Amino acid sequence: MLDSQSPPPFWPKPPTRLRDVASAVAVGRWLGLAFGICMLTGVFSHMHQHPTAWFPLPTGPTWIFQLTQGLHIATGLVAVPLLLVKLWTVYPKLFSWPPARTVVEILERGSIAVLVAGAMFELVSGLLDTLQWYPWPFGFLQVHWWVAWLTIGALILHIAVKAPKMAQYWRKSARDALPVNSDDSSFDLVPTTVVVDVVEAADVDAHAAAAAGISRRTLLLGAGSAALVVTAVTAGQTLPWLRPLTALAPRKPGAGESVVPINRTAKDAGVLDLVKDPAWRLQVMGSQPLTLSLADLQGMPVTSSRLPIACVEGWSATADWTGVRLRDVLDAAGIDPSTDLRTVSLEPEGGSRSSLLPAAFARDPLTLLALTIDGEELSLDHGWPCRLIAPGRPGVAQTKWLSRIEVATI
Amino acid sequence: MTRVLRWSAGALGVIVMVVAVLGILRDRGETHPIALLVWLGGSIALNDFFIAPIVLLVGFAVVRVVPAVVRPAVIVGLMTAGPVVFIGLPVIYAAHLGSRNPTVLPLDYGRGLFLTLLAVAVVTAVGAGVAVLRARSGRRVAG
Repeated sequence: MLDSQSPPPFWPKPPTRLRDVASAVAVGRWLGLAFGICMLTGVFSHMHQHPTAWFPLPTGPTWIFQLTQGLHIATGLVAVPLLLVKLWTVYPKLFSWPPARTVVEILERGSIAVLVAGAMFELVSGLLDTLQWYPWPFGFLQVHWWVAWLTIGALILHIAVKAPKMAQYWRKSARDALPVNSDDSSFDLVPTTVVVDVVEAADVDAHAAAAAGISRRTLLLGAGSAALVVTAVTAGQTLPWLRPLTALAPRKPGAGESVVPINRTAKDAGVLDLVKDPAWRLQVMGSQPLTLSLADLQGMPVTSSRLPIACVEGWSATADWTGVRLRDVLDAAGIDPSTDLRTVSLEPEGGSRSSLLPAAFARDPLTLLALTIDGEELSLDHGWPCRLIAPGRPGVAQTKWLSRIEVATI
Repeated sequence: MTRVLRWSAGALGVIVMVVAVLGILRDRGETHPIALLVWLGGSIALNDFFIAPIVLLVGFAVVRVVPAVVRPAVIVGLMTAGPVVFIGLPVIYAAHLGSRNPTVLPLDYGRGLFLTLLAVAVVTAVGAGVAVLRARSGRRVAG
């Protein structure tokens, strides 16, 4: 497989014979699937935060963003053990001699370095962002976005390069037909000499030789078990029936002061004084502009919607909201039904200060200018006196402490 | 045909990577390309020269110390515990640093990690026990 020329004395020897193409393919396809899901759901979330006319976003079902972003975070967490196992199965490749023979090989190995580093970056930066502990100088949104593309590009290239090996080892029957001690599938955890000792002592066959290290079955069972346990102790942040097992999720709806968790408090947002100002009015800029006090809003026909707050950080919680249907207010302000809008908060600055609201969401009968949550007046931290709640949108776009609704171009 | 498909996919991958690099450079005010490059290189070094050697040493110790009959159960247990610790430690540290409001990191994560690892250990012990019983009853040990 390698050149017969032996490596120089300083070159490290592959620490073991643990390289096993079949296991690398088996773990790799689950990891590839996880990264595929992360990429698609990530792009979906990105489009929500940067809406464009050519990508109409679905307003239903109401839980669609809960699902996509819950999946984004859950598959990202599952990918942590899968990536660690995958890197481990291919570790001896790092020490192949010669490192590369042709320019194409140099580029191919370079692309694997990009793939490995990019994958680690996406998982670690994503995890730490959900913990709201982000110790790096680069901005999370831009870097997580661009490195995702870098990683997916490297992954596509990697699949193209490895396609023949993947085809060879894809099916279980094909994998099992390969001899255990063939060069590509021998798979021991320990240096060969130890395996030989064990095998000689036990006087058993080649299958036992593999078992003396670690069998493919054990490896895959370990990867699956890790994925399962990681999900069990974290996914309760979005799946209510897993909540009792929630041990390591950064959020747990119902823990703390509010059933629906809060990301930005009124104090953090710098609106404590602004919301308490009796002169607060909601401005609706249309052909017949409206200026509404809280009493005006409370005096209008009030309706209720059961909708989730689904955070880009992967947690979600559903609540019963009551308030004024946004489309009724828009009609009263003389705003055309096909008009896209921008909702603006009292917040002086920050990513949640304003949000683009495509016409389809503004006109959805479930979309409210919410005044209460679960039967109680909105708390200051939930956006009192009035916040937006619409179906199928990220929490950051459900503008709190509303001050203005204006016409926008998407 | 397959050859054309492979080369096209490879070319697509390269194009996507180039676009991503251009994006990183275009948004350099936010992406800090040098710091990012250091991070990316450092992550490879961390895995190849720190995490992977530790895993190899643990594996070596397991093969030396743990009897072959219970080894698969122990390996599955360790493979489960590793990523749980990998994810749990930053959560504990972030909670230790303090959160912006009581709904962020609201749990006792040290306790959560301990209980999770305890559960993994119990299941591993049960698995090991089953393996021993099966070996004694003379059936082939699955591995």
